[in-house]
Amino acid sequence: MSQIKENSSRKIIFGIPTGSLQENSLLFLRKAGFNIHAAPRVCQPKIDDSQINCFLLRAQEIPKYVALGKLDAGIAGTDWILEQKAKVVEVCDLDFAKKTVGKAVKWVLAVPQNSPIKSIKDLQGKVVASEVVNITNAYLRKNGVKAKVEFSWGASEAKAPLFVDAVVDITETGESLKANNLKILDTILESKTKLIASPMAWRNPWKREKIEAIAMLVYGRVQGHQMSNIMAHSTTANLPKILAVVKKYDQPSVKKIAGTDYFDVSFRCKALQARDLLPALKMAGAHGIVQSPAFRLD
Amino acid sequence: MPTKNKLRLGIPGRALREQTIELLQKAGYSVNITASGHKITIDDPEIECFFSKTQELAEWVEDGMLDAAIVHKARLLEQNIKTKEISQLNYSNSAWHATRVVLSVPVDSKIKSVKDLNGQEVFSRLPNLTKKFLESQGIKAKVTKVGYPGEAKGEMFNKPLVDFTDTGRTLAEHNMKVLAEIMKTLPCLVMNLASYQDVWKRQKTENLAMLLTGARLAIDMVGLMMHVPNELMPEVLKVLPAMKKPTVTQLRGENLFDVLTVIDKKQARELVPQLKKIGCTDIVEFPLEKVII
Repeated sequence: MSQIKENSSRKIIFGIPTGSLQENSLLFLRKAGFNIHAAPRVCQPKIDDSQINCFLLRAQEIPKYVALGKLDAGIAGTDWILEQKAKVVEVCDLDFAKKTVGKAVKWVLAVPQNSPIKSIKDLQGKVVASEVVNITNAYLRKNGVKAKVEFSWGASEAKAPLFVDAVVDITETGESLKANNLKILDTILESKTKLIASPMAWRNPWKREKIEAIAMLVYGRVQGHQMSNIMAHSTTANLPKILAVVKKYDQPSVKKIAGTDYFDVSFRCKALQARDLLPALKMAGAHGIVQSPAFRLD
Repeated sequence: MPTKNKLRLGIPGRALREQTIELLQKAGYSVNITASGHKITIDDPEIECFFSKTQELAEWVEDGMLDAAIVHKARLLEQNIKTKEISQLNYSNSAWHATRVVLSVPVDSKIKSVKDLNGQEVFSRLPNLTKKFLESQGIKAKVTKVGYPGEAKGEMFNKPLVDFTDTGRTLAEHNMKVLAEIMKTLPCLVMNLASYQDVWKRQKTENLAMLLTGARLAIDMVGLMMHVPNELMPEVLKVLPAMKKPTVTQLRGENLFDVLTVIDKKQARELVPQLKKIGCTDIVEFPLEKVII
């Protein structure tokens, strides 16, 4: 391998999606310790890691360029990976969407509230608008229905019933569908955000190691975002009861507190679980219960 | 009417609204409010939330229309509401401290003290409490009930006024000055007396109270961890506040202890430099989400 080739392979070209995933992608990359400066209208944000070049690209296009090896790695949803039939390596789940963390977004088949279409079968011979034409065609084929799938540039919610009979659209909270008087007939696909790598980069040991390091840091931050540390004090007598509660959530670390007959019980749980867990701990006799944001999970 | 295994909870829809929503979120609930702002839902299917003015919430929790509600202590006393108090929460309309019910007058008023109120007319958002207060001071005055907001009316008609105040800013905007404090008041989580007898509802409300007070306390506190050499331990334990026993563990194979504790945020400003000076190392301050003592 020539000297020049060697140098250029010591750089990761990384795709960050614009649009709905942009804000959370930048947020978690920053939380992972990368300072990224994305000035408005600039497509190549600056990052304080000389081994990474970032590009802001449409989420729809990232899988394609990753599959081609033009991008070494990037952030993309499984929806666009499938739609573009892109052959990429899925390095890890990132579990965030536009508004929520920890929930999958859904592509759904929706029709107007008062539509005569009551089930998929009624779609026979009808027209469906969809941004994900390939996924929609595959879905219809699987259900043995022949319908015309029209590519939609977006704002699909507005198109039924005037322009098309049904729409396939993405929903995170369901609010946009409700606001446009649509009801869901079926879920076509649950899409998750992933960190993906190109098969070419994955074969290069240096690139693979670098991509895995980025993935580990960002993954840890997304997981940590949803996690809390819990610490509680217990007497020797209450310890078995308290451990019985904790064991449903995590393997706790139990430490004797120096100079007392108290124990400190520390563990991690999902922040959402704390609501049920804290009253149960208190009931089991714990005191001095402290919940704090999880420390790094690397 | 309230149903089994579902808690109907009244949430202040005007005053106290924003702080209550923030505290529910900090307690771990995801709060959703409709575009009109009138409907509130949270991600616990066992709790049905309901927005209204606290005057109404107080009556409805007494009647049993609601199982529980968050209402100012002063409001409960004013309307002579009979409920079971589960917990008092330390916040107000715009700050994380108590609200005061005060008697104020326009800055250029001839009334200079409470005694000067004899024979005068007093505007009040809380007429019953005001009458009791004046009686206790031996004052005979006419008390006229006024609605929200009171400050503008006191200024416009040059009358003494009894109203809630958090920061005193609105009073100042209306050129009113405080003559006397009638009481301090905090939002109370209260339960209907029959609902309180229902074991499930009581447990549900008490758990909610635990999470709300735990989240509230965490706002004022920080966690602190540090390494302390063996010989410095007595001195360090002396300066650490005793509210919560610090967690002290010995580091394996070292003459060092790991000390972890929670302290008041304001104390940290003085305590951290002090601990450093004593000889503690690797001092880390970290934020807290809930503190349940």
